[in-house]
Amino acid sequence: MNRKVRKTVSVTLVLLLVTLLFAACGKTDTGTGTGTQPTQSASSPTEAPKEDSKVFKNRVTIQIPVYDRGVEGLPPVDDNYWTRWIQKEFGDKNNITVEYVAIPRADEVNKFNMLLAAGDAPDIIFHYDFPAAVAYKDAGAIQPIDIDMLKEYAPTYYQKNVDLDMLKYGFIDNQQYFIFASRPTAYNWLTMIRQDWLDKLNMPMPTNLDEYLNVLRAFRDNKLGGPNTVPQTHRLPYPNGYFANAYRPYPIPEEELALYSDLSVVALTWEPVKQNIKTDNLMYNEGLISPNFALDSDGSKAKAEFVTGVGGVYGDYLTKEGIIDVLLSNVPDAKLSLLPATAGVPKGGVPAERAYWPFGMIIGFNSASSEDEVKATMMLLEWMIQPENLFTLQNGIEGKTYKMGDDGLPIAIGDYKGEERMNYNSNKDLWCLVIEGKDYGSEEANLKVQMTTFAPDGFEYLIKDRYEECVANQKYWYTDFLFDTGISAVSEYKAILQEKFQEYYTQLVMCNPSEFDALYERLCKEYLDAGFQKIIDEKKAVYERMKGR
Amino acid sequence: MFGDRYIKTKIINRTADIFIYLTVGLLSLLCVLPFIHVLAKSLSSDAKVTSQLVYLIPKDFNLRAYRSVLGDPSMIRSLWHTVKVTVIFTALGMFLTVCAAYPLTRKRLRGRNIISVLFVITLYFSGGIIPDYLLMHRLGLLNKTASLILPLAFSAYNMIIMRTSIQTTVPDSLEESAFLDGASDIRILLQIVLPLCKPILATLCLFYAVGRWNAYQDSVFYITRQPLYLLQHKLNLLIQTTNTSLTSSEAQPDTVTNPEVIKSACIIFATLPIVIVYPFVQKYFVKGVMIGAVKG
Repeated sequence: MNRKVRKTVSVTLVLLLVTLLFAACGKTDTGTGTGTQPTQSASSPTEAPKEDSKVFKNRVTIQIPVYDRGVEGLPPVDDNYWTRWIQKEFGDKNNITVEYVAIPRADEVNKFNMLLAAGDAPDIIFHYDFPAAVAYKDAGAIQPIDIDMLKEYAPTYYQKNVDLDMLKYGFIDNQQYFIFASRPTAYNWLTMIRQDWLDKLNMPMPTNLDEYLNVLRAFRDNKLGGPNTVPQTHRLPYPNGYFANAYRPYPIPEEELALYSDLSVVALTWEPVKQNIKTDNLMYNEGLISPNFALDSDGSKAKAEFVTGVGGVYGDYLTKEGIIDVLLSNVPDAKLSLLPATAGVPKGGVPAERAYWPFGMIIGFNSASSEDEVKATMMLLEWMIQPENLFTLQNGIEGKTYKMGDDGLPIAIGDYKGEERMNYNSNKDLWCLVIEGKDYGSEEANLKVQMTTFAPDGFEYLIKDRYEECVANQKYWYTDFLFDTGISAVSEYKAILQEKFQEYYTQLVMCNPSEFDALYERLCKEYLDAGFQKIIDEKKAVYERMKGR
Repeated sequence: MFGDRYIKTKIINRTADIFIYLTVGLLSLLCVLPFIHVLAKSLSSDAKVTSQLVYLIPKDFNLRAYRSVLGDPSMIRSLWHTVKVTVIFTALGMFLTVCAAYPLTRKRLRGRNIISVLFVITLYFSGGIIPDYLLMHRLGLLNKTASLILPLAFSAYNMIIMRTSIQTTVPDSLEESAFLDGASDIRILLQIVLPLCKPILATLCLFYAVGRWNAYQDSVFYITRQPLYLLQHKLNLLIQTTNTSLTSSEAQPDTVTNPEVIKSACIIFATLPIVIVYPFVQKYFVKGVMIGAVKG
């Protein structure tokens, strides 16, 4: 009996292994074919007869990704008034069916990879972050773009990419893989300081780090926010976002920029990062920042400290609701000012901040898409970038979702609940294919709209001050170095390094200042061993190849 | 002397009781406090929640969040859809489980050991996420409700519980006598075996239903059409999205994605149905766990 059981077990296991083997082998050779075949056969006789007319003879179906942010109380992202409007205004007129594919915002890479594995991915593959987009290309998911085809089918879109000099970013391994949506600058990231506290102490606005620390010490000693005063609110940094903006050298040597300035992995071993953490350590030990910052990974604690009037300084993306209005409900006579970027910079330095790329969404075409699908997708981009179409997509319908102001700029009617109501963030996830924010034609107009959309009534000056500061400091800013190929070590090690950074950062900030240097030394070594050395080596090799050394 | 000892044991028992009550009380507080916290947040005003002033008692009590959750047709649609899927899933799961478990208890079924081993293998090994996804793709089940029902509908674990339970509660002789009286196999199953197994049927129903209600991973993978989202999938999106914002170079929106209050209300909304059902069937749950503990 026992032997019999054993026999059957081994036989079934062998059978199982064999079937698995066959299943695995079978997958590879059919996988790439299935995705494209039906559409190709359906549309192959399309273009031939008429060259000039771009309307397709046979219906072409294109699939466009759209972020699903799980926002409560809005119609489905893949089927709503505006997706149907695009179908009616663009699709039906060109014999194209536009299907939207919902991509969960928080899980986009997994979702795309899954769709790609199944040969089921949409015709556009996009990502906001350059390294991640290049990773898709390295995986073979993106097809090279025929520039002549782009010129023919999306001339305006092409021209915009040329005018803003964006095409070079998508030119990798001698081929054009990506095209880009443009990015008008938004000025709503800012740091606020309690002006009424400064007034009480009769202190001027700090302009360098020493002055700033003295202000914070005064906040602490005078307990302006009650017994638990937090002079500067502080949260656990994002695992990838610690750029040491205030400590970067100016000008930054190009090689340093290439090796260390990166959106995916923090350069723990870089001197500016060390200096920045050292200051954080000092502030922590002097009781100038939130004592429980290490537990505040989403920033909600820091925000709570500020809006209850306990905190003196707070940095965030300003929104019309949720920050200042709450602060005023708790502390009615609070006054706020913009804390200048120079307040964090040691004397003699300049804020050589890491700047955004000049582009927004990074767009590639699925390598499994047929020529007609690519053409139709280009036509969609071209249609969407036309000012009148974009304006409607961004603002909706006059009298319902917006009204025209006296200055000729649209003002959103926020509480419109009818059928034509806008999706989340003014349909942004639909028009992010062509632009990353609202552009009303001039800096002035843009600023004017931003002042009313981002700041609550009476605090518009914060946005304006920030704008003026950005304009003044822009000359010191650097975008990351542009490699002409993906850095595979980054994608391989970034998860582990991101996790380690938060842990090491916490240790470094909370340690005794006398132990800082020794601890930093040790953790840097561990960080390098955990993969950061490999990233530096690979970047260095690529950098030197590009410089022809 | 006798009384002395009696008092002593009494005191020991008392202290033991107090100790036990204290531990159990603390443990259950540990479970229930986060829930009360979420409930309190869902009933408070936005400003108080952002200021983190709400702990266990709502501040600025109001029902606005619930009004907006209940006023959202997609939420109600999701709830209805989830209930539908759960009911169909449970019915199908029970049918399959009974059909597999009963024959495997009968000695006259040849090769039942092999079949059992095959079932057990699925307990230890699975194809993995990508092969599963490819399978669904090939079967054309992506974006179909069936993809949320079929793959998980048969659980080998539940089948083993069922089989063990039938083996222990229904003696062979009972079946034999029914057989001699001329009952067919199906009749024996329906009129003799199943009525004797009612408690375990209830338990497994609950296992299946709760499992389906709480699972969202398959929905996240297989479903991209919003109207077909399960409630937990919606909840997952709701919670996750707010944690990603700054980690990419996306421009920031001019509105908050989901205020904390709405999030809390959604969590309560999605949890409430199962919390309401639970106390009524909980006794079977315990029983089912016990049955699983005795290996046949």
